[in-house]
Amino acid sequence: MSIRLRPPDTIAWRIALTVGAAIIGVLGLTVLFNQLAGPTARETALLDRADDTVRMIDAASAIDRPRLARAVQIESNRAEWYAANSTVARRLAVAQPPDADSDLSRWFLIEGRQRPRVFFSSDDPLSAGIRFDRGQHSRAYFLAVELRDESWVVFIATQRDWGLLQPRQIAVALGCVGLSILAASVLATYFLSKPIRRFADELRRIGGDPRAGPVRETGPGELRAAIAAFNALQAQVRKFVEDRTVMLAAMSHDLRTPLTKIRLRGEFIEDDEQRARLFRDVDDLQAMADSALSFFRDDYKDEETTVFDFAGLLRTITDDYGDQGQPVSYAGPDRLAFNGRPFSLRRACMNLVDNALKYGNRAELQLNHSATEIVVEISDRGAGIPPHALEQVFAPFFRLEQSRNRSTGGMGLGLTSARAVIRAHGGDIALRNRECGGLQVSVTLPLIS
Amino acid sequence: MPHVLVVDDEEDIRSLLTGFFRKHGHEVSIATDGHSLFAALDVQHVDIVILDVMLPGEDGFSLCRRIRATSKVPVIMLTAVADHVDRVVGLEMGADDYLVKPFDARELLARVKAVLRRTTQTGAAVVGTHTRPVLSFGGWRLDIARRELRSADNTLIILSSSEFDLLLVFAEHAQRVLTRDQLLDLTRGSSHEVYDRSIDVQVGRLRRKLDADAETPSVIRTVRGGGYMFTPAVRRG
Repeated sequence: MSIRLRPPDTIAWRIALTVGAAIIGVLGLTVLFNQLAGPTARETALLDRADDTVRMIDAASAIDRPRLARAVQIESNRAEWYAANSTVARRLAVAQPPDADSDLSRWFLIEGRQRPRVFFSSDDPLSAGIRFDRGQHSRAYFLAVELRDESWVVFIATQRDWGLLQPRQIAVALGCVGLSILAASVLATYFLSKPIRRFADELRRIGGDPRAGPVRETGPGELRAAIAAFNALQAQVRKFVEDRTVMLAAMSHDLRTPLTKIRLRGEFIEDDEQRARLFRDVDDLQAMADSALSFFRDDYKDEETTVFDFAGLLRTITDDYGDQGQPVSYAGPDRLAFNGRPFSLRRACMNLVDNALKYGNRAELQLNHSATEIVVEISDRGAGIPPHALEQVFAPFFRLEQSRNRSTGGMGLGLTSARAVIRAHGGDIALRNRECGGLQVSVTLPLIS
Repeated sequence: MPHVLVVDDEEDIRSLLTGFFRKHGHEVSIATDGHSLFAALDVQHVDIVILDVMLPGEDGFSLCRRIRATSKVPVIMLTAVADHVDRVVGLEMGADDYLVKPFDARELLARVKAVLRRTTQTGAAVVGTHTRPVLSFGGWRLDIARRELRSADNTLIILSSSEFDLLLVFAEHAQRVLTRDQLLDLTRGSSHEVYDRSIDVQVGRLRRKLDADAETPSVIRTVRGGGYMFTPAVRRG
């Protein structure tokens, strides 16, 4: 048995890891930022000491000044003094003053008046005459302050200790921390929610179909447990549905034998009218048993798909109803090849035509198609369906109030199974009350070449 | 007088079918299972077997295959399962036709007549191996057992029951002039609805489904003096 060194893959562990990673990221960025921007406190202290140095040198006599300046050594900063008539001093005197927003007004005040000062770097030609070890420090920064006798003290920093001003520094620091936290949380939620989203997609894919296979168990532990529980539930539902289907199939099957006998006995009835009525009753009974069975068993899944002529299918339905004296009409192309399950679609369309005839007195079929889909519209001239019931009518065994009193009510499975068949073809069905009265059923089916 | 052998385990159905077929001028024998079926086939000449799928012991599919192995007596299967798979299995086993319970006795009689007509016509050609009867004409394929019409590009053309029966009659009498009376007579019974409908309407519907492009002359030609002729040559298989 091998010892598992890998930590368990759980949501808790994932959250801990991401939070840890985020904290490390924030810390890292803070350190990096401090490296670049430098601490404000240190800057203030440096400026304070530089200020002292300037006052001291200003107060000292010219003879002592170079020595004093050389004695100053503030961390990596050095100071140099240049006499009023030196080249460096003359150049500095005509140099540009520092940026207006360099907030240094607190420093370098002598007798209440601010001394002129200049910032520059080793890139600047101003640095030409200044003594410092160019070989060792390729880059240096300078702060020059003019003394009262027009001589200059130059501070030479070989590393950048001063940086941004405090408010800006805080803003940048906060921005960095905020950005890193945002990035960490976006990544964390993405990776955390990805398996959950996949699970949701899987659930959507299998939809309400209890016969669909189990969902693959992937992702963190808790999610795998949830998927396993779902799969178990689905298996139970499947078993339940299967048991009921088997029972219904058995009932429907057993019903056929007595119905066959009734039909055969009917042949011995001399009265044609009575015999015809008996046969109609047997047909109704059989249709009810069949519709219930096909609803529970989803028969259409057993039918093979084949390319067939959809226009011919609608025409045949129209002719068949017409021969029985029913007002059904067809408008559309003479031929339209479609890849699907012809028997199931024929039954679905007949259910819709039956409904139109039952509740709308006539059925007008219209077939339209584009490059990507075909649309069958079945319109009637009835009272339509109240808007609140437009979705309800698809529910199994649902029947509108008005149909209760009718002998031809059916079982309330026609629309349900029609929609199941149409959706199994990747299409959909929509109901709409026509402005001119009556109901329009639109069946949309995608054309797949 | 055609001799029908009814194989069903239901006493009532056997006696009812016996009565019905006798009433319509058929000689009837009965069997209750595979054993009595083959016993009956051994001792007498039978023109057609009506075989229930659900039988105790060996089922109808298996019996049908065994019948096919030794005899070319036509078989019509009866099943209580309205299943496409079942239907195809039955036809693959060599059944000539297939009816789902509860069936209309007249429909069964019509199918018996149609199968007998077909097998007596083609009996000489089909010896030994049983091939599923398919008629081909001008790119079209008419699968008699499946009751399917397919076009040259294998598109299934949906036909009503009576349209199919009429087309079958035409295909079986290709390139011969048939009067309306003859057509009525040949299709009579094969679908009891034909009585009420004029042959002309049916022909019109068939033409619409068969003549996709109006350029070519119609498959079914109107013959002056009252009749129709199916023009293409029909090939079996």
